[in-house]
Amino acid sequence: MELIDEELKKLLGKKITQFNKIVLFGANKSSIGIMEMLQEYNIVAIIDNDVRKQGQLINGVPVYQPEDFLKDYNNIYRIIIASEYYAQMCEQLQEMGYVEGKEVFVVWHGQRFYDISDETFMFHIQRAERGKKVYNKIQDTYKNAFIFLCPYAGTGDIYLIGLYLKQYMSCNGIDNYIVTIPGIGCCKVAKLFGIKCFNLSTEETEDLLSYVRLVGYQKSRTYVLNDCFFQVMVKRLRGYKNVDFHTMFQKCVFRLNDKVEKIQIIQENSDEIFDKYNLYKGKTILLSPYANTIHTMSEDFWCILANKLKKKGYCVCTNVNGENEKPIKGTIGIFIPYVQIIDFLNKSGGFIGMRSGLCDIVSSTTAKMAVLYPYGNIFGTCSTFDYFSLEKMKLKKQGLLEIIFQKNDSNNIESQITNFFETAI
Amino acid sequence: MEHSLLMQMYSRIDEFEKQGLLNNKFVVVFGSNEPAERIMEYLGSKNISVDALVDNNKKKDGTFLNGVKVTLPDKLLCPKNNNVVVLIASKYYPEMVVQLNGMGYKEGTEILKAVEYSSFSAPVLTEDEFKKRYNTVLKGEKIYKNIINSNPHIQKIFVCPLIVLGDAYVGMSCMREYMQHYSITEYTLVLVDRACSKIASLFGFDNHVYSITREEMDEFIQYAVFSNMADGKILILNHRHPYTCRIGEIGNYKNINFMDHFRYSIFKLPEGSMPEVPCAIRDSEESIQYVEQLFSKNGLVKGKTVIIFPYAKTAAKLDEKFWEKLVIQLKEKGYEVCTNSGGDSEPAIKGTKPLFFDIRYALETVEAAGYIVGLRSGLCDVISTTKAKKVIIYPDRFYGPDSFINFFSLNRMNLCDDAVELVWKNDIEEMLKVVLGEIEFSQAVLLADRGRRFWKKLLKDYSVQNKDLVVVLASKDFEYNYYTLAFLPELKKQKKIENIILLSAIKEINKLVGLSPLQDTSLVLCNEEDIANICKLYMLYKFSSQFIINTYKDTSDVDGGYLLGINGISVKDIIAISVLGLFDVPNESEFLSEIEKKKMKEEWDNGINR
Repeated sequence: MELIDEELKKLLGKKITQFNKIVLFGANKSSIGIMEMLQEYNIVAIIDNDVRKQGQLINGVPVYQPEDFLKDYNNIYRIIIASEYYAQMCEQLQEMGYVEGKEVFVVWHGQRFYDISDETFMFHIQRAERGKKVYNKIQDTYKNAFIFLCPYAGTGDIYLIGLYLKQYMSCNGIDNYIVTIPGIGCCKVAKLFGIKCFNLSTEETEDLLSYVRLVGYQKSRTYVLNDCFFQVMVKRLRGYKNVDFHTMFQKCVFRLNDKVEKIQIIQENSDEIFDKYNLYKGKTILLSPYANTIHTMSEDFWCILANKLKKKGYCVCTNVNGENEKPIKGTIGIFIPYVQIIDFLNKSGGFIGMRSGLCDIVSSTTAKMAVLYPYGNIFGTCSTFDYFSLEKMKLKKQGLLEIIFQKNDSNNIESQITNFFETAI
Repeated sequence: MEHSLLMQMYSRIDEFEKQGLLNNKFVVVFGSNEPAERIMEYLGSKNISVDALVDNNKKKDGTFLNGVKVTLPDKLLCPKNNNVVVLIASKYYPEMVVQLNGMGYKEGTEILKAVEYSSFSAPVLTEDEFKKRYNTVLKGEKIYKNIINSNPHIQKIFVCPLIVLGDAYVGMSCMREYMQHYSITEYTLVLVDRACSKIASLFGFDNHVYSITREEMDEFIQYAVFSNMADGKILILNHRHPYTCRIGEIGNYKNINFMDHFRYSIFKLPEGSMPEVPCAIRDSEESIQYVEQLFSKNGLVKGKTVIIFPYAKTAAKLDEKFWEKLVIQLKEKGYEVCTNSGGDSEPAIKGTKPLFFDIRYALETVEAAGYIVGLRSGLCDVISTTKAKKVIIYPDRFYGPDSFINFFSLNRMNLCDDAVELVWKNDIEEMLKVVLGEIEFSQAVLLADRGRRFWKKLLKDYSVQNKDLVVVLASKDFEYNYYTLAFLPELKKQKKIENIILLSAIKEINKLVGLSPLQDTSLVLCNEEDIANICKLYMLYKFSSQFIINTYKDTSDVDGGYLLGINGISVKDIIAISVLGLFDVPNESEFLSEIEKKKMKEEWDNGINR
């Protein structure tokens, strides 16, 4: 805390003033300490990626999901980080336009890395020790199961895992298994592939990962389903020589050959949704304007687009998931469970959405899809589009329109999309 | 059970059998405890089955011990059944007899004393018996007077009445604090040689020890009880002495544990008192020498030896198959395994050497070994403060009104806080998995810690500064190392690195570095283990920003080696982009011609295979 105090003093009155709205990243002890130090400042929010902490009040300050709170970029915010996970946090904020040194300040980097003191070493040992308990709990529940550890709660990741997990298991003679997944949403994706999964909290997942890394993957009969979690090296190869998201999973995570086995995705009939909302088959377009990890288009863009489509005779609905996602003005807000969404799209008129994990999930639809990618690089030299393009990833071959957008060209994009659907049917 | 008691019990049972007392009877054992298990085992070997167990503990009612049902005595034995014979192997024999008498069972034919625990209990009031006792007290008084005469200023006489390691250890661990608290400086510790005197050495009480024989101890205790603890001068360090109250049974009620009996009930210490850590002879020259000899004599490897403790007096033996399988699996994983054995009554588990070691050096011995897996016994108390990995198994049964583990847990007793304590489950495979998991985990911690020490030393020896970089050439692949060396000058330039320290376990690297364009580089040749340990530490956490590992195959999940060949990705790409974090593959960085490279690679591969 003393160190934090020192760092803060350097910033106060200079980079951070009483006119700023202060946001603390992480609903944790150090944030509470910082709140005490900044009593004369305007602390408006705490942001935290842990769903369970969101919605709580800490000393009267509400905790929000980071993207929810900071979505609309505003340079009045000053975001303070005091966490060992500062690198991931900065990256997350940067994707929303907040830059370290400008709006984002790291006042404490954690003593947990880059340090070989007894204390730090013991901190990691204790984490692994906790992970051992998680491991034993899983082993207790699923006797002798091979553990697939999925460290990252991205629905797109889970989709790719779903495509290859069974093939990997049959190649490696694994029969009895369990997949650990952080987050319930991702479990629902896994269920589309009939995958057995076990839900862990983010902390439990990190503890478990720490344990299996220390003991060894082989000895613990655990396999990590991610290309680069905590590993900067592989991450640098993302997008290099056209290595896309799909290739990374197929080759680097699952180490499989090019042969792709046909995977059955579990789907139920979605007619009831058409009936419930009075939608016409073949004449309905689903908008998916929200994405967790990338910039999104403005609300205006979506309103205009929806109007244009309606003029072409389409019913337009917005896929809304949870309270934070509101339907675009003039469209019908509907929630379609994953288990019906592909069937729904097959019978609808098409899909228009920001590139998100949902795009992976629905990519096997026969309906037309228009997918929007923000311009710019996210990983090293690789652009979002190069790494995540559904076409490059060979997830969808026909009826696909992929657009890279920049801030000022929404007009052009609307007509591109409207034209794409005009020629349909 | 103590060996001598067990032998006594076997011979008594043999006698009962000879007399035909067990013939065609419904055999009941009073007390669902370890002696009961031993009786069952022993009778089983004679093809006589124990038909039921009775126990006054309501919690045990309806449970099973080795497949035999436990019932409350009056539920099973009332109304009186003439075909029943009840065997008792308990310190509470007199009380149990009273209870059974009340139901109509008779001592000698229907109630059989399977073991005589104490020379005190004799429910007879004959003149002879009285005289015998009287003489005993007189003999005890003589001992008392001798002790007092040896030191007239004596304030307190501590007594370890039994030859039980755990009791002696726990008792002595509270003594010093007691003496401080009650300002005692002149004292004597009365005990029966030799095990207990060794515990006294651990705590540094050697000069105060007054050792007597077993018989003398009985006399002395009898005198102490009779003389009202010689008016308070005598303090018996045992929770069951004197035998006037059933403090042992009260124990384990409301979370009172074994240690609490000593610190609160016997020593009357204030709350929160902590047991003393014995360090009187810890790591002394003689102990170091002892351990060296012991390990070399038995061919044991430090830090890679598991000592198993399969025997205990109060906890029933575990299924021998468990130990045997554990030994096999530990050996497969490269551990040396030996059985702690006190003699013939404790044979070494199949596949292991028996290891006898002096209790005085037990701490150093297990610490040098690295690991113990043991059934909870008094020895566990003695070694509780060791840094070695301790996996302690507790029987799944009651002790008094609560579970055995609740009463005897080393962690709960505050003897240590790092013991892994498990309750025995009948699923052997399950137990094996947990125990092995614990051993493997601490092995990994040990290696990571060694990696950390090595790293510290490296930083110091080569006075590594902020702008220096350590490159761990962990890969055994020629090309990986070649390109790492080839591209490092570019990295040095881009990242403004001052000095590069190369670390490798491959001798051939010398020549390759000599040919490379790297100038003024320190090359550190080390063991393969050092490299492996650093990688282990790296897997635990990113401990420094000043190093790079050029892994390949061994831990290839970290460098993207599986992308080799995909979209034309080559080793050059992996090294430049992934390992070194450059944005491009540096041009014109090759320092050997294709022919030279081929020749070098051959030499390299030959060297590796040698």
